[in-house]
Amino acid sequence: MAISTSAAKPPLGVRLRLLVADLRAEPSIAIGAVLAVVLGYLVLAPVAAIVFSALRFTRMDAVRASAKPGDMTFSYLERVFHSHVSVDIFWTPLWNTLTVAVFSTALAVVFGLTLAALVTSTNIRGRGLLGFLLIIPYMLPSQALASAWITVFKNRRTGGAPGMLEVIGLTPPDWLSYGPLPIVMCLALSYFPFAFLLFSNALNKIDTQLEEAATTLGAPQRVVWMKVLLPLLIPTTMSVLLLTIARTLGTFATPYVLGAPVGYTLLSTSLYSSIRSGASGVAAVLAIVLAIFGILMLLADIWMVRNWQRFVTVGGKGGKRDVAELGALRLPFTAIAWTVFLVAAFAPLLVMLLSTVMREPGVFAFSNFGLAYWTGADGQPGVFTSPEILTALRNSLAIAGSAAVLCGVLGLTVGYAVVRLSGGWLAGFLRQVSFLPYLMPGLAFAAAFLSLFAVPRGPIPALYGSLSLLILVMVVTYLPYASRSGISAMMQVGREPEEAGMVLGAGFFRRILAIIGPLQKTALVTAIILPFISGMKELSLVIMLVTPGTEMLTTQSLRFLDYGHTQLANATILIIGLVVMLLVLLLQRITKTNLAGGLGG
Amino acid sequence: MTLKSIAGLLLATAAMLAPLTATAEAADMEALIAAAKEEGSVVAYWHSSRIAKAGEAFEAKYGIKVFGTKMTDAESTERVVREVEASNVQADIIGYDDGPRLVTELKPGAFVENYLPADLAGDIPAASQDPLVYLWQVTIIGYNTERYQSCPITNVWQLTEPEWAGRFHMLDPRLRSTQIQAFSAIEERSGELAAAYQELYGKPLETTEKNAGIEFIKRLASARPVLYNEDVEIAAAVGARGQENPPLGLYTLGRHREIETKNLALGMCALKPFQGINQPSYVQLVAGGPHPNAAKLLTHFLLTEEGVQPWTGDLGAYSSNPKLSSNPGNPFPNVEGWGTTLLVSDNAKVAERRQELLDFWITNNR
Repeated sequence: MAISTSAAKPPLGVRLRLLVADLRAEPSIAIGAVLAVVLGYLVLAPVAAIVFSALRFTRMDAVRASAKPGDMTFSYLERVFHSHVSVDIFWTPLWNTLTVAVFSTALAVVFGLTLAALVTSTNIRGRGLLGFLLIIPYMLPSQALASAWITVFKNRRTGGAPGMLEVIGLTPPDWLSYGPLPIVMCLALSYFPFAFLLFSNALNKIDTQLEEAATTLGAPQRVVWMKVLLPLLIPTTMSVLLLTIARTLGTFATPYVLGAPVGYTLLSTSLYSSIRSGASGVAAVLAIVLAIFGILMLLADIWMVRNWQRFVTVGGKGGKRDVAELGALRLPFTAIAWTVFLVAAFAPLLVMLLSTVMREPGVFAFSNFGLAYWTGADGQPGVFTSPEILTALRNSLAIAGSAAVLCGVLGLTVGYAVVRLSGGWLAGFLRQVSFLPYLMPGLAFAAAFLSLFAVPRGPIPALYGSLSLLILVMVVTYLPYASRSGISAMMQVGREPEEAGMVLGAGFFRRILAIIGPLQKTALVTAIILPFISGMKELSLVIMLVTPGTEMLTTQSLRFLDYGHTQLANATILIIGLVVMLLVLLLQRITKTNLAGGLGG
Repeated sequence: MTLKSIAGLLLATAAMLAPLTATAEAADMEALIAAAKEEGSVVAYWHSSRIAKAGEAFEAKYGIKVFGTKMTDAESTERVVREVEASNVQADIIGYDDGPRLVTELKPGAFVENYLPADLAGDIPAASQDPLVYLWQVTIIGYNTERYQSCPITNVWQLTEPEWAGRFHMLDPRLRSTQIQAFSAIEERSGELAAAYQELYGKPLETTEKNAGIEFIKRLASARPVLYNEDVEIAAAVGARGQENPPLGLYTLGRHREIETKNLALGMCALKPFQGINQPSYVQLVAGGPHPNAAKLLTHFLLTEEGVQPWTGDLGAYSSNPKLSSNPGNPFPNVEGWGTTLLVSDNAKVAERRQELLDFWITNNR
């Protein structure tokens, strides 16, 4: 790597030749430098663009303010924080966002913890099956529950196909159909599997010797839980809290579907309407606010990991925890656990499926069932024949698939460069920059990409309206997950195998193909499938960027909802769920693990 | 000379001149077609997805391929401005709804050019010539014909009464600039609104606001209408059968085709002093576009029967060329028939007032 500069310098030509030979044998610096330039552009340029557009006049506003477009202005900041409409644009949405975040997170943690305790540590019926079934909501796109909710509780306030309750003569009140209550419920139910996964993992890892010690000293089960296990779960609880709050802050689909009809606005939906109405300055300010929340969450997480370190007592010794005999309570607890599954996963899926096979919603007569929405009827195309859905399916697979492959390869490459260059500033830069997109709300990042790549820039042609823009923005957004796992995977491979190869005269590419590749096969497959799953479910990131012809399944389902075609929206979501479930099964087969291995995104 | 004879003389002169101009125009037209065919294709950013159908008809007639993409006005503005500024123009022609933005940003910045086909200059009304309107789309206030024999209201002020609070459905002014354009037109018709108020309640309107139009917008906003992103759902909410208390809604007249296709019970309200909105759509050439002649030919095509058919075949849409036909189901065969019952906004005034009107709406819609 480093070129010797001792004593008498050899002539320039020799030094250059040495350098080239050196780079060919050990190109990690070259790789690192290329990555730094590419990532610097793809990550930092959008961030800079957002900050710029928050402080500079747009063309439309410049005309009115008799200024030049691009002139510096604080008018957008003022409009958001301190004007006669800031209550509507910012403060009320902020309050609503915090309310929704607090309540849905609290519920998600309670559900997650209770179910994790029941499934890992008690003898309720069907534990093994529940461990898988309870994660199903996590495999569905975020609008799935909202869409199912609308299918049942929709009232006459909005048009289109009526809700199931409405049809059987019960008109649900507005507060049950739309607004904060359904948003909190849907978010809690779609995020609790995340808490469930983390708590189950933590409970399985806690050294059972600690409990055995307590039991030996005569503590009853209840005391063991209150004094030993729950305190040990505090760090996990904290990170579950932070991660869930962070997700709730940026969530878009649920508040859009369930909040808009009653004017219940969150920061994410306020950001969306600013972009839609062309108020890009205001949108940029809102995006920065969301990003600051993201940074605060991350700092809190770092602080907490540092301060709760003393709690981490994973011994790795001791056996599996003995399953607690619930006795008389076995049945009620079994019922609770299965009810959560029924409400959070089974019922929404069933409702969505039913809605697609019933001609008139809510009429449970045999003659009312049919496959018209799937095969098409009365000149209306069905799911299998709808050009929109087929195009969207093709696009979703193409976009999420290519983004996933690129992301997996890029993540491992970043991992390779960071590990091989460790200690240097280049490694530090790569590590930080590849993590930065994690903090940006998807909507904001998409807006920046839109304004950056709508026109040709340097060697990059205008990408807007093509699949490549969607692929690019997805690669950048999922990079934090991919590079993190890439770094940790590369950490486990020492230099020695590669050096052995080098001694035997293997060049760089030969070493990658014959040594690193086979060693990292599983890591690579995982690094591809996980972004693939996220990409299939992605909505907020792509909603601003899709155009006719590049619609994805998630955005298409939202269009169907916009147009009141609840059935087609549900069918589209079911297709996404099916693809994701197949991917998850594939992942389990390849990695020979169960899902608890930490899903990202 | 009597008036009649003057008219007769003029007609005779016109008849004598007509073949002359016609031949000149025909020659021009042929030259345009030849130049357009040379260019081979044309790229259109359009406000409506029906550009695809119009493009197919254009290709069938002239053999020139149309690459039409549906975009919102915000998107096409963004792209056209950046393309022209970067001197890398991809688009040749745009179809556009946001008139105020057109006259304050795109035209003064020389990002687009107006093109009026010479042979049609006599047909298109002067007000629609620059910027060139190619389409008028009518938005109306509709009611549920299953529940009501006739429209339950007769005057727009009734929409602000408690009875209709939360029962009027319209597009969200925060998302759709067309609603703000309508507000501006409402402001311009304050006098008529004040008179309509007097007529309905038998007493003059008392207001602390600047004028009756602003007062109306304020009361409408405080009545908390239900707001939408797309008007398909508005028509469905109004016209669905089996409702006890169906709402009223503001939606494009074209939705009335769903009376047949979706079995909706929809009817049009006749209201004082206005019963809807007449929304123009513009066609403009992009400055420095790579296929200028094909773009001109497409403009011409859109002002003919076959070119505008994808839009005017439906209810509630009219060509700006009054000689062309419209859907036989329309209440009036041409756009003039609607008279002053529809709101038409002034682009310059909207551009001046849009921010204040939007903010006024937002603060009163809490």
